[in-house]
Amino acid sequence: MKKIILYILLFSIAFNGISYAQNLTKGEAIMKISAADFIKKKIRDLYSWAVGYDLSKVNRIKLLPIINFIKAFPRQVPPDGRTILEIVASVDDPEGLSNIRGVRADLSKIGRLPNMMLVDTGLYGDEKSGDGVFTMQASVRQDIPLGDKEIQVAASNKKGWLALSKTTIVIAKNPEILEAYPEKLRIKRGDTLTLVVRVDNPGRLEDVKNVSIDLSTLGLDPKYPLRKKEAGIYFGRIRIPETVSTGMKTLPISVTNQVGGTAFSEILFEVI
Amino acid sequence: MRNFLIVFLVLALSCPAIGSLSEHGFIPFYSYLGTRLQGMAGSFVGIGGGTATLFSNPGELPFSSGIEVGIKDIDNMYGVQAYPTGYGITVGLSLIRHTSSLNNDQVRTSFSNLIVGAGFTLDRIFLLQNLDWAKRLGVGLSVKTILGQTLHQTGQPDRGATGFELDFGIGYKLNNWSNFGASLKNLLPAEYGGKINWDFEPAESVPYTLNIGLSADLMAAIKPLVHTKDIKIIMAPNYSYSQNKSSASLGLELSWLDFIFFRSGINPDGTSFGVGIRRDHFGGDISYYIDPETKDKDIYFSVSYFPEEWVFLKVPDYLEKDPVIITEPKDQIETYDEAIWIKGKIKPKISIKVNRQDVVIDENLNFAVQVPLNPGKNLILIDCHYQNRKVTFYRKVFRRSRVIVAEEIETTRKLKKAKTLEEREKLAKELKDIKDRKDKLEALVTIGVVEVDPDEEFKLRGTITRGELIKWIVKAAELPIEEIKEDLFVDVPRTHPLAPYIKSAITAGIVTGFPDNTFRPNRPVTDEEAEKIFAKFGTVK
Repeated sequence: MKKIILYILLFSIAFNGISYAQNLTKGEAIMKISAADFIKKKIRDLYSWAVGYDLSKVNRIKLLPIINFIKAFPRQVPPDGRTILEIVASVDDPEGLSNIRGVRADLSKIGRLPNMMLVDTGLYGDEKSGDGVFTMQASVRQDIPLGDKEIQVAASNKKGWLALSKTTIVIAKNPEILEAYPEKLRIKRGDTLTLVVRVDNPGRLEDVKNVSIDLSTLGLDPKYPLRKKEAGIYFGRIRIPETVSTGMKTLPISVTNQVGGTAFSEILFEVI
Repeated sequence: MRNFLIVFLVLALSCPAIGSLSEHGFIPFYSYLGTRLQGMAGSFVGIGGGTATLFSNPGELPFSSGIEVGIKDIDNMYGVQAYPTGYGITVGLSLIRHTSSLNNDQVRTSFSNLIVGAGFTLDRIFLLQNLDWAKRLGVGLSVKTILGQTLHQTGQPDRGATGFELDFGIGYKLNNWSNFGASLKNLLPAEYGGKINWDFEPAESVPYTLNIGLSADLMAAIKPLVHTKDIKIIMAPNYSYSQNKSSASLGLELSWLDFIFFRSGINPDGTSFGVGIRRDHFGGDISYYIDPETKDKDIYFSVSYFPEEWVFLKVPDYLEKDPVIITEPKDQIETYDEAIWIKGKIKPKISIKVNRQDVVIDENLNFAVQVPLNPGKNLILIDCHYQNRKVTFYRKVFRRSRVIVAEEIETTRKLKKAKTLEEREKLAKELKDIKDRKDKLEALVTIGVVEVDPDEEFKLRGTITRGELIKWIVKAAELPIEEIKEDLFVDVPRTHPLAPYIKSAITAGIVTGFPDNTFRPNRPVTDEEAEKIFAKFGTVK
């Protein structure tokens, strides 16, 4: 019995040995493929520092963080050192938001530091934490000249790559009269006329100090103040004196704001 | 006295009146100069980088620099230079002294000309500064002024002339090895001053000439077939059109190690030849050519100087030498890593890009940026910018494909446990063989012949199936992969992932199926099958 088992074992070992020898192994296949002349040359070239290192071997995959947009609010800011300028940058990264190292803005053009940090913490004006929208608040120094100012924003990631983008704000001082009109273009003496003036102001509308109208051509107050109806809209009611002559009348309007900016316009109507 | 008068009148009447330069066969504003240009039969409109470009095409000026002085004899000499100012404009300047005679010296003309030109690439225009094509497109304009020209004819009083003309050209670098150029010479109409004003005769208008040329480095063009860094062959065809006449020319230049240059060219006048040498910043050239005016075979000699730093713009010394200290990595390194950190420090006022992309620079001017690596060769570009100038540094990085070989782990473990010297020696030898195979396997993985899962162990002693081997073979031999429209075998439907490789191998005659219309892709390859497959594999290329 032992002999039979031994024979079976020897036979199976021999059989396995033969069949193993008959089949090609992966290692043998690799050696045979590598032995072909053209593969030898390919491998030689592969390991050669002198061949093949051209511009096609520069990895051009997108590595930079992405700045989707930058917004500055308000677009027009007075150089008063107190009006809040909010800069918002929406940022992403090919490897996810967690790879963003920081977002900074160069505020040197408005008299502030060249590397102010924007935050995505839900604090300091940022609405929501971790949403990729980075925010910062600043103001424009009083000695900054009027005109367009470029603000560059740089987003960097933890792999050392940098994305740059920019936005432009306007440093302006003077308010703007958007509309100024009477409710009626023709009015009789003794009737009441409503005057409406719509204004805009760099920074905040609340900083409009005074909107007045010169009624001296009607023999009335030369600095008649209009009342605020809502943000940016001012109105006044005047009774046209009986003594006023008929014809076209021009009433000058002036607007002033907290930083000393002014704007002028006129309202036209006809007294009949 | 009477006889003398008769003789004088006969002589005077027998000589034709002095006409224009063109009528006699002279070339107004002759500028067939520059020994490299002459040696290539004037086929130079599409060649940038040589000073003679001022004569042939000012549009190539932005790609040129150097000084050249040439002489044929005391009456025929020139000096020409292309001067990169550093502000993006290259200025060309040439002074020519030329004398030519026809009909056994009966008609002779001499002149001194001054040519002033300027050229720039279009990326110097603000709105175009980031456009790649604008960096490769040069435009140039040159003004040619006659400082003094005389026309002498036997028996006639000498005539003098002045005048000026304009040339405009463009040069476009199509790629690293070819170039296109076009120039319009003498483009100024006569009514705007583009003419030669003779002192006793009516002004002579100057015909315009349109030239179009190409140049190509043939060795670079056929690089996959012939790869050599030592030899360069430039071929430059040229086409000219003027006054309803057109002509073509072809120039060739063969150089070795950028040291010695052999030139030849052919045009309707005949064949020209030239030889030149360069050493560091100096060069010397000789040309044997056919003068287009006199049709004589002439020889010009010239010497050239190519300054290394030759611009008006003051550049910090460290820009050219060491604008950046790259601390990591060293050049020519091998790694298994999927990415590599590039670290260093830049000098003040320098900005830097890695692989053409912006990187973060900290307050101490340090940078550290991680660049992903593709399997195989990777070239990393580190561009240092200072105003409009750029210096690029390179790092060559080779990323090996990582393969975990089961036998290597097993044998290493055994080796650690081996107790006898004999056993250790045996295992060490075995390990060396395994590493040799692993080395080849890694190379095949890197060139894309073999696919392995980097996290799984690869068994070198494992048997390979017919399907697997055929895929390796087809990829190694780069056989074309065909579209499969119908089932190949009973066990290889057209949707089988290996079907395209099997079809390709069958088409190439590397393998066949079995008589029962099966291929048996999952069956191990026998030694007998392997022998046939590899016998054919060795001959497919």
